[in-house]
Amino acid sequence: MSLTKKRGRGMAAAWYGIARTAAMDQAGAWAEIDDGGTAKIVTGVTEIGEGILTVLAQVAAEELGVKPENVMIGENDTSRSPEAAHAGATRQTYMIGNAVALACRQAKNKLFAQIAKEWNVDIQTLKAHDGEIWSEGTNYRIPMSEAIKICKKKYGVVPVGGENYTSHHTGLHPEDGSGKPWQAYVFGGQVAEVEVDTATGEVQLLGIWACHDVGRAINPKGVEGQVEGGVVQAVGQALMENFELDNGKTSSGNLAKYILPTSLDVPKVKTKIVEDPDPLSPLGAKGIGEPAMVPTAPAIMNAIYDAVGVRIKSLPATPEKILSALREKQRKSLNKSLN
Amino acid sequence: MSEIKLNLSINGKNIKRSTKSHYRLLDFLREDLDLTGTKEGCGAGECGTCSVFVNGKLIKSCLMPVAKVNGSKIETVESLGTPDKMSEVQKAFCLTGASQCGFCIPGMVMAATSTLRNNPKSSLEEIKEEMGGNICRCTGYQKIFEAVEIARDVINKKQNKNVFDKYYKPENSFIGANVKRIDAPSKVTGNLKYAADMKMQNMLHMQVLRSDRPHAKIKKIDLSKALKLKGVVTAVTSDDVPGIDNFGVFVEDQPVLAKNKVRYVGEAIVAVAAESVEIAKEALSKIKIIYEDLPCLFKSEEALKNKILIHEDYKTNVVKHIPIRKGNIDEGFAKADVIIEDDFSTQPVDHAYLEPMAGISYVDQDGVLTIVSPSQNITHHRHMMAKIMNLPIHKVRFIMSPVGGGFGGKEDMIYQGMLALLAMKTRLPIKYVMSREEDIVSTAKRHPTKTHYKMGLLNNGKITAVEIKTLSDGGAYGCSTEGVMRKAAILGAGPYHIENLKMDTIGVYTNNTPSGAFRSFGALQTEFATESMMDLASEKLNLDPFEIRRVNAFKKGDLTHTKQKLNSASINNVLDELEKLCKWDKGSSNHRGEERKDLNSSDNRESCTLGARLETNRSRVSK
Amino acid sequence: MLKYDNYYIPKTLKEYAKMCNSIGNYRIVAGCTDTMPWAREGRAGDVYFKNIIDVSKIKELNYMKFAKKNISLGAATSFQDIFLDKKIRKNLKILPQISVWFADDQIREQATLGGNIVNASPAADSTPALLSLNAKVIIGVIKGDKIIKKTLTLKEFVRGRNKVALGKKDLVIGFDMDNLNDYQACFEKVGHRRSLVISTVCVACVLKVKNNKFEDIRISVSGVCEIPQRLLKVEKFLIGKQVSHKNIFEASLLELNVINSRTRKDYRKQVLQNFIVRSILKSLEKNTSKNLNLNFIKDNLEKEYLHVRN
Repeated sequence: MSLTKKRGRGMAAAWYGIARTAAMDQAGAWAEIDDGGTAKIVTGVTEIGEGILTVLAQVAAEELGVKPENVMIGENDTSRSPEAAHAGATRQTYMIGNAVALACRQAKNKLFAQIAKEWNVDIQTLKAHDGEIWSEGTNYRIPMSEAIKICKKKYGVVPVGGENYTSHHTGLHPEDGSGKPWQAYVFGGQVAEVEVDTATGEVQLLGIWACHDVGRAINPKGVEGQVEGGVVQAVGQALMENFELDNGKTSSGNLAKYILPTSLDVPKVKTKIVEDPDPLSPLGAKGIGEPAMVPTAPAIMNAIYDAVGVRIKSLPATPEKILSALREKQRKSLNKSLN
Repeated sequence: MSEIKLNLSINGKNIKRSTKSHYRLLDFLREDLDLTGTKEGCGAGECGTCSVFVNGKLIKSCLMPVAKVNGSKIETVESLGTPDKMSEVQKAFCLTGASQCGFCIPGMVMAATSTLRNNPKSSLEEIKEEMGGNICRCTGYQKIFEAVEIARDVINKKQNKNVFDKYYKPENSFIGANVKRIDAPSKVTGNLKYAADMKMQNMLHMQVLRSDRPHAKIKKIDLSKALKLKGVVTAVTSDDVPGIDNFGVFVEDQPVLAKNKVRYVGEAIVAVAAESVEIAKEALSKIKIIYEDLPCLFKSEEALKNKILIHEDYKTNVVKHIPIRKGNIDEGFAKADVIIEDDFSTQPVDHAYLEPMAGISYVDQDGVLTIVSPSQNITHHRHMMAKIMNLPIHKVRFIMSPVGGGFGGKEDMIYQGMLALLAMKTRLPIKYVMSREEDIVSTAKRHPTKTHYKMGLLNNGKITAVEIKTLSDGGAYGCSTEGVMRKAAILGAGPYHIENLKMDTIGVYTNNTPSGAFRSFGALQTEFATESMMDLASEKLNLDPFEIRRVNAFKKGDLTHTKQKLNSASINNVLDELEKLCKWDKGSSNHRGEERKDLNSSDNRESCTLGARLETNRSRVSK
Repeated sequence: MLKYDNYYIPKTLKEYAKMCNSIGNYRIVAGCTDTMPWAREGRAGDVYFKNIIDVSKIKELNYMKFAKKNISLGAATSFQDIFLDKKIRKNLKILPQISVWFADDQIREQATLGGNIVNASPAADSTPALLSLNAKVIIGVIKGDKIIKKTLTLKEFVRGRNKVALGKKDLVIGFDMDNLNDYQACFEKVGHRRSLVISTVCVACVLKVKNNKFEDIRISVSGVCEIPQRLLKVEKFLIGKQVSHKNIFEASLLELNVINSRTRKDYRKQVLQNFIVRSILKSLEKNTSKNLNLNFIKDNLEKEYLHVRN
């Protein structure tokens, strides 16, 4: 028993697999270089908040040589767009990003073939970036809007591409579990710093240092956003959230009783991105959505132990659990000193 | 239904019209005026997605009867700016990437605006306090705080407003560039339409009667009184399903509506379509269900005994058992200098995405059944729906509406089937929006787990053997349990090269709320146990926690727990970078606490004591 | 869903009296921040009243009066006004402190002091503060078209969990309380988070020290018992005594049996003791008197704690 607030730190590591588990994964995409040097991407994707639309716009812009703000991404509609399967399993950037990259390369090759003819240069010398197309080692350089005009009006070609990306996974052996569940893995680690109020058992998470390998960060701010959000969801899991059931009925049936972290409960997160590109896929990017939240809860529990010497092994570490563990600890040490 | 005459100012316009007298300000804005930037996340004042200004004061419009603000001046998010003419706060939100799913964002932008209107010089602590009524489930708030601070500084001319135009971009590449989110302007202005914001002509409203029993036979469903109610169009039960009535992400065992029996509290039994939500709700109260209670199963250990079966056809309550075997653990433990054994558990957790489940269904001019919903897996949903509705697959169309947070929770197809039945039956568009309470009670949760763990190590920290057994409560239906068990098993022992491993993950049926897909999908639970064990080992062997992990970390060419050869493994690099990043003070995990030298750095936030505004003495003079 | 046909907003007490005499089936609301969440699934469900009477705009319920010894606040005073009002901050330090913990800024704009007291929740935040301020409740009793004012102590008024001494038509007009501008105050609260938090334990302490002695101290608790309460034994023990670690510690043990919550009793008991001690210490910290050696008191309190065998 005590009145003071005590600080401590803990760390934890983690790993994760990218895309669908122990099963073949596939995604399709269509790309078209459109009038005005814009791009049209159609694939089975809707934003769920992870930033995939921006990632795909960047990928398409990079591959086609257009500006990201000139990329239009179509709606996800089973009757109007190719299958890209589900928005989950940390597979969006990896599966659909690569599918879009491949589709864009096809479309670009069609455009480049016509422009190479037009300029009478080797197709290998052609480059396109940020709305311009040029031939290396020559003076040829025109806006993409011009190039697409030439491609369509003069040569009668609409530069379209349609491609698929496959991640080759195998199922697990039914007896020993052996298999190749993923082709890309990511690794991460986090350190937590906590302040434990020994008068109430309340834990304030003050800081998280998060380091994650994402393969290649297409949009670093987006990666940070995923890490910060993942960390805070894990803070909820670690310290306060609990869907309580009593004989099948919940006592946490609304957001007054089901406790989510507020702006006053969250740590400052410092993120460091590590890039170990995936050798098997065109973009080299892997993923971050799910792996971001795996090390947080154990890092917090380890930090609580560091701060006050009690180990919480059953989540969430509520003030009540911590105070009761502290009391138990004091009782033991008193008994020890008396014996 | 009685009406009330209103005369008020909304976003600078005088509005004179009648509305339903019991409407909340939120209903009036959304239903009558189509100002759908104001969202409904909880309906009980706990989330802040519905924040609006009334006479200059920010309030939660779900707690405000519209009659109470008659004659007042209302400002909604639509008044702050449009995508081509955003306010400083909105621009700052775009700059920092403060919006992810975007569902909380209109409310968040309103709270930020209010904070800076009340005190343009608010400190970070004051900003956090004043925005404490708005929940965000995606961002972790950090980019939101950054945005409000930037907006504040621009408003106070401490920062040039051209800061909004800039973003970092490496030379000659858009890969690795902080391109501003292309979806942000539609979110910070409240322009983006989520499923609940959509309307169609002649649209009907669906409401669902749910079980209040955890396990019971349905003896009789009496709809007669409900169907007689004026404005009720029709109702459907399990009997109306034309095709093969089951769905599930991995195991297809869940009927669209309870078939013969209910297996958890919150399971859907009857879906009613009516001309208004109010009438549909009233109809539910007139439906009579006669149950015969069955013995229940609430504990996963009990489920293993198979004395009570949740799904009679399966003859066992085990949904999935995934075994991993590598090397020989007996030999491994025999070699160990120390053996640590312990138990860990984790709780069920709700996704709590701020957008409750919602959707619209209709049958189009070509007879195509169309479902618009924030589903995370329309590809699979289309397959299952074709089978359930007995339709050729091209006669089923799914459109994925913007998702206001999913986290795995929107992978289950738990309401689209009912929408489909009613649309096919009535040939009219059907809309359904779950209340927060309904969403919490009926949707799948993160699997609660119990793990027994045994780890053998050498004195130098090298792991010689690991044995893990994790039992997960899958609840009443299979959902993603099979996949979760698989991922928990493959990843559970952590990023460590372990020669001798025995791991078992078992998921079982009970009469609890189903467990399903949730961000980090089983790995969170098992890796929590592993990383706690590593800390216990660090203390026991007097080794720094980074060091003991390095001793065991995977290297390129190592075999994983499933005996896959790793063609790259960045874990050592990650650990090095992390240790540098946080300026770790080396030492074992032996409750060093305040003796550490790395505490209290400026990387931390301030400890929250509440009352930042009391200390800086910001006050106002009351009326 | 809360359904009703008519929503009445009387502007005066007289109008109110007339209204509740002439219409049947009504419910009184003020800020609505409790009523709206109450009429939802898992709680009251769908609820119908023919009429709602909103008393928050009645002019006789909207006032603040500051006198040298006494302060009066109308029942319709919002928690955000209590949090931000300059005069309240100066004279009733405990009230802004409870307000900052109350829900959030937006709910505080709507929620009223009267509404919070009338709901008589065991976890109510404002009741312990008002208890420490010796607040009296002014009630308007409706007799025909007459309104008779009646004054009750808070203890007389709050009768139990969600029970108050209020007739069907009666309403709370306001509160009279002591002006404690020369007191120091501290509010301690714990729940499961730091905003929108429902309290598990809260303690309101106001005190005045003279010549290193407790000249006056008033400690109230809520969250731990059916009705928020003053800890009179603790107060009586301390008044007139030296400010010392021994006295504070001894006092903290005197009334822990006040706890009669249905759940988490052990936890609440420990926290209550800690909060009593800490709220006294924090109030003392705000005292400008240099004579107190607070660090000495704190260190010795920690030592006292080390010998507690629970």
